[in-house]
Amino acid sequence: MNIIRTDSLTKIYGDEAHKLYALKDVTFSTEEGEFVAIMGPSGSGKSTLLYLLGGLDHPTNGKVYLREKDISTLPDNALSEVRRQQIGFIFQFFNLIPVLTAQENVAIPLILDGVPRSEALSRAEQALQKVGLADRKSHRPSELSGGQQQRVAIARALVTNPAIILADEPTGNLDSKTSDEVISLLRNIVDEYKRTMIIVTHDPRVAAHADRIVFLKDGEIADENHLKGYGNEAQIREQLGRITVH
Amino acid sequence: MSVKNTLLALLFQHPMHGYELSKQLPLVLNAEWDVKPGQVASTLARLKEANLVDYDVEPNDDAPDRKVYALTPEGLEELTVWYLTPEVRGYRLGDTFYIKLVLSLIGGPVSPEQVLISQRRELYRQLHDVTELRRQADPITQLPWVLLLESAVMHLEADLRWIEMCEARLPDLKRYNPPEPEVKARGRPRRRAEEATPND
Amino acid sequence: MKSAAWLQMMIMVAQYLKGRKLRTLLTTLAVVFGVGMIFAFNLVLPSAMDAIRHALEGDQEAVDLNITSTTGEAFAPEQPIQAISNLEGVEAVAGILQRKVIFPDNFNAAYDEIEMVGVNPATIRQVNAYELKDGQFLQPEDTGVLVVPNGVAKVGDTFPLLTTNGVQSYQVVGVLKDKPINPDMPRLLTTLSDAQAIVNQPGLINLIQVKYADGANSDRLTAQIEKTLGADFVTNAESDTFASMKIGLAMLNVFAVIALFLGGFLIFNTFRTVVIERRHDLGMLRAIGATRRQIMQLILLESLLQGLIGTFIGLVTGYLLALIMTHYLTGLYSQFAGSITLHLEIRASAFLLAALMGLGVTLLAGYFPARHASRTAPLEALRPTTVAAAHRAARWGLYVGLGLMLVAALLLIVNEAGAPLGAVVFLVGTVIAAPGLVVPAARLLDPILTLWFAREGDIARSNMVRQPGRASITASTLMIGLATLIMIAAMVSGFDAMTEDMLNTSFASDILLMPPAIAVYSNLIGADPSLKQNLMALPEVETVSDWHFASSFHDGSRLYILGIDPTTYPQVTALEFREGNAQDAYAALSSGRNVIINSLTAITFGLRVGDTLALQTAEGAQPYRVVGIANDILNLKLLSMMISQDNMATDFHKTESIFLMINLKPGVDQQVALSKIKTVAQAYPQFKVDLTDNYRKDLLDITTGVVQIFYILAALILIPAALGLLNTLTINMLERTREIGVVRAIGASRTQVQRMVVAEALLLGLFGAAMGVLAGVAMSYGFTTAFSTIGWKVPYIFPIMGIGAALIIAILLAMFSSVLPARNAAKLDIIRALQYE
Repeated sequence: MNIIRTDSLTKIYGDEAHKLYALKDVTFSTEEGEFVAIMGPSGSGKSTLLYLLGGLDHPTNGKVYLREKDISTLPDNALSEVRRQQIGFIFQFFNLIPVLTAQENVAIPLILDGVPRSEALSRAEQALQKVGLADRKSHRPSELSGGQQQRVAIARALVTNPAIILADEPTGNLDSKTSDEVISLLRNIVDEYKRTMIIVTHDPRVAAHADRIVFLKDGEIADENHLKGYGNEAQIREQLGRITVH
Repeated sequence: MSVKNTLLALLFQHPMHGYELSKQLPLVLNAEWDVKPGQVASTLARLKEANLVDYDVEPNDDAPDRKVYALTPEGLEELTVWYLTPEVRGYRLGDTFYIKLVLSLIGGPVSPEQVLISQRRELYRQLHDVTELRRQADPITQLPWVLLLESAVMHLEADLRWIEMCEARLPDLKRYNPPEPEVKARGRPRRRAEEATPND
Repeated sequence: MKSAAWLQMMIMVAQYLKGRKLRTLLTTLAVVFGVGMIFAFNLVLPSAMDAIRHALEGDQEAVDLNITSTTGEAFAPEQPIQAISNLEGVEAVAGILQRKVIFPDNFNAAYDEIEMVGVNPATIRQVNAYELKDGQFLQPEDTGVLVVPNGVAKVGDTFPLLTTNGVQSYQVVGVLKDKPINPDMPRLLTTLSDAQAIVNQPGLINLIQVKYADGANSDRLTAQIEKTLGADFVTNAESDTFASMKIGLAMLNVFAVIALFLGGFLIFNTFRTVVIERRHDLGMLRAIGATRRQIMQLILLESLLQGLIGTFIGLVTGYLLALIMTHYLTGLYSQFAGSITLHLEIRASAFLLAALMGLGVTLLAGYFPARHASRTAPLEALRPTTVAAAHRAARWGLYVGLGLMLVAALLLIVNEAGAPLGAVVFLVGTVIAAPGLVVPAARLLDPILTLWFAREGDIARSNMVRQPGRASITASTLMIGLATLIMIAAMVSGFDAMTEDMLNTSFASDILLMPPAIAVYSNLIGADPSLKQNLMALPEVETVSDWHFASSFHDGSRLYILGIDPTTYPQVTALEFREGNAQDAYAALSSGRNVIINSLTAITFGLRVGDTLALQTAEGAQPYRVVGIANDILNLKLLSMMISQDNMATDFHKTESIFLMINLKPGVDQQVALSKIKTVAQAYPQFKVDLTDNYRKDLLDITTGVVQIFYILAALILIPAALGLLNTLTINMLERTREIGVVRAIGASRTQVQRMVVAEALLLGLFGAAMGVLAGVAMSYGFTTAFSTIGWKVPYIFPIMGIGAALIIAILLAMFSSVLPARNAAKLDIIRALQYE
């Protein structure tokens, strides 16, 4: 079943006189347990697509179906509920509330949803455990490194058991080693907990973790690249494992 | 890959005989090694000749006596110089993909975009697989392997970024108009040209 | 929302507040200030009103019904008492003559005033038990004796009383069980005949007390009595002498509310910044599924929390302020009308009003930013702000504001009646235009700024222009404060000029015999005609002219009627005639029922010269014809009128002098004459004898004293303006921490950073001052000219001094409020500032 599916999604910014197509007739879908990367040069509409998929913005034309339910025309409150319960968000700048502890930050989506505080906090702790930060649960964001902050944000996205996790340049603000750790963590989450994940990135090394890469250009899908199941491993192992001497 | 320096580097650890040397090398590098034992022996002989190594004969009861090789001071110096000489990767302009791309620019059955996309697809697939291998490798017990995989990751990344760059430059590149080869005038050359250039 | 979310939000809010201590403090202070003022005023004012009413009118005793005449004057008892007694359900009726007596200074050590109550010993105790503690009650044949409340005097003490025949000594024969209702003004019981002799009103009473039979329906019975007595009498009358005083005191509340709303501006500014500052947090919350409601609640909760803290501290501060004000008011009142005691009691109404206003204004100030926050799409919150929209709104505001100012200017010029409206519209227009004026004003003021801040001026200017909304609100706060100041200054100088002018014409006589209080004539004990005759007999005296007094009611308002001698009056003083002329008017007074009314009376009842007024007198309604409209300074603020003393004697039975003006013969030594007159007046200590010149000076001093209150109020309004400046500068500094780091990193010195902040403050201050001067001139003109509609000729004096003061104050306030932010900015650690988010 498609977790998320779009139908000729179009988004236009600007007024009648200066139409700016951010997205043009994008039809795209994701299956459960899939890890998709969206790539493309800046201004190609990759962030816009992610925002539309996440119900952060309304499309000008076309539809977004989450589990076959059209969310593109929902009123604000219903859309908020969808975001709260079915979508997990990870941002480039982590966007943690500076005055709350890691555990409280992770618990926010549950609390917004009306889960009793004690239950919310214990579920937040479990989520922190999944990202390996259970021992830092009472630290404030300012007391954590960038990578740790992003892991807290990942825990926050996981805590509601969402149907899909959307990440906007999740490694954009991290150095390469931390970035590798974070993207591996995301890959593990997809594999271990059978989550569906869509990330926007411009980093080939990050995108290479995905099962599929969707390339956007000028608001349109330029290429879809399925990475999974080509079985090049043996060949690579052979190539890299043989040293030629002269 | 030069056998000579590899042998010197291994001998720096402790004196070894030829057979030991040929067994040790793949273990250290965690890779297959296509050097025949004969090649090791002939190399050692050349090194001895150049006074970079020396050997003691170690008597052996069951088999012929073995020569145990060790570094000479000259050998140590040669090894040090090798370690400190930087290696530069060759930039091969004759790369097949480069030729494909440039030729597609001047017109062909496929557009340059398609050439780029097709290349990118393959590079990403490889990168995906290398990444998978890298994720499966144990970073402690398989450190050389991890280093090798990461080197591959980085090179693939570099190639991808280059493709990205080409893609961004495509609008400019499409205007690329290579100079036409000078077409030799046939028949009677003009007088002045005749005077200036000799015939070949 | 579920409780979990509330709790979590409370934690978040508390943490946010803790993170910005200075700003939280300032915002809280703004609430504290407004709430404190409202609470204090509403604690003090009702108490003050009560105290003043006690002081002016005495207390009504707890009997079933008190009946007075509609005019407030004495009346013959027989007919009404008979009529009431005949009604079924009435158990007893008693006639009383009571009068408040103000003693002159140093007359009686214990009291400045008493209420003298003449009762019929035979009947009074059927109505009012008057239980005795000591001694005996009054007997019908007694004379020269008193029964006093517990603690006032002992049996056998003597008590000096002022009468129309001079001072007489009374003996205390009984002490009541009850303490006096008003300890500052005890009710002394004497026989009705003594009382009538003391005030020279034989056979008259001015109060009927009624006791109902057990089980009688008191409401129905009261209605029945009112019907029986008709229009000449009122039951349980509440005085409306305080109407004007109430208005004056209510003005204090207006000031408090303005202060609170200026505080509201400040809070609004803070919350708007809070919303901008937390865009990322709020955007994230929206993105992960917070509803608009939840975002709104988050911000509102924060303002509520601040409102609660501020209101609580404000209530405590208000109580302390009330204590101080009580002290001040007591002193001020004693300057005019004798001593009063203020009892502060915590009234639920004052408490509720202050608390609700405090919370209400905070919530309101938080509401718009909260709504703004909730309306931002999650995406917008993740992107940088768009400056273009703010500028477009500012330009729109500029056009509307300038339009309003134009309309206001027309209103001001065209019509006196429309002038105050014009002034208010002008002020509103300025506030609306303010955001759009920020940029041009910054450009305009730039040359001035460059004088002092050659290097830092540019940065300061661009900083102010960057947030036109915030700059304009801050400047508007300052503007309102300064405009008020300028308006007060102009009105004060106008009033001063008018007072001086009128004092010079009103007091043309050489020597005055002044009663202890002006404008509360009904409580005065006058002097019988012998005083005037004795004065006339002095060889140095050329003319004596006096006022007799009676009060009346017309259309529900109390009238103050003065009886004058039309022949001598023009010799000692001059009325300022607005309609009619002096010669004809005085002549008309002597012939028949004619009256000269003052402007206030003319405007209140719509009377012109030639109209006839049906005046309620002791002899029923009598027609008086208006022959002139003229003002004198002492009665300017009262509904007053003048009739001849002959008519007053006939219609009101009043012949006592309450105020005497004396002209000396030419060439007489004033000091010698003064001492001779003092000797004659010795028997009438209720009068203060002084040269008119001295009195005129005293009067001017008192005017100045009252005026000072208004300056204090203007100062109070400047406090929120100062807080607002401080708040804005602090917010700006916090917001620009990183920029300051950059400026420091590329080589600005600490001093330069400091000067940058001071320059910005100065720019804001000057901008506010410029608008304040404009609005101040409009407001002062509008309100000064408005007085002519009630017949006062207040000259408009251009408030040069006020404008100067406003400019200096604006600069000082700007400098003062920039000290702390400037120091903080200069002290910033460069590295930490650069890393600041």
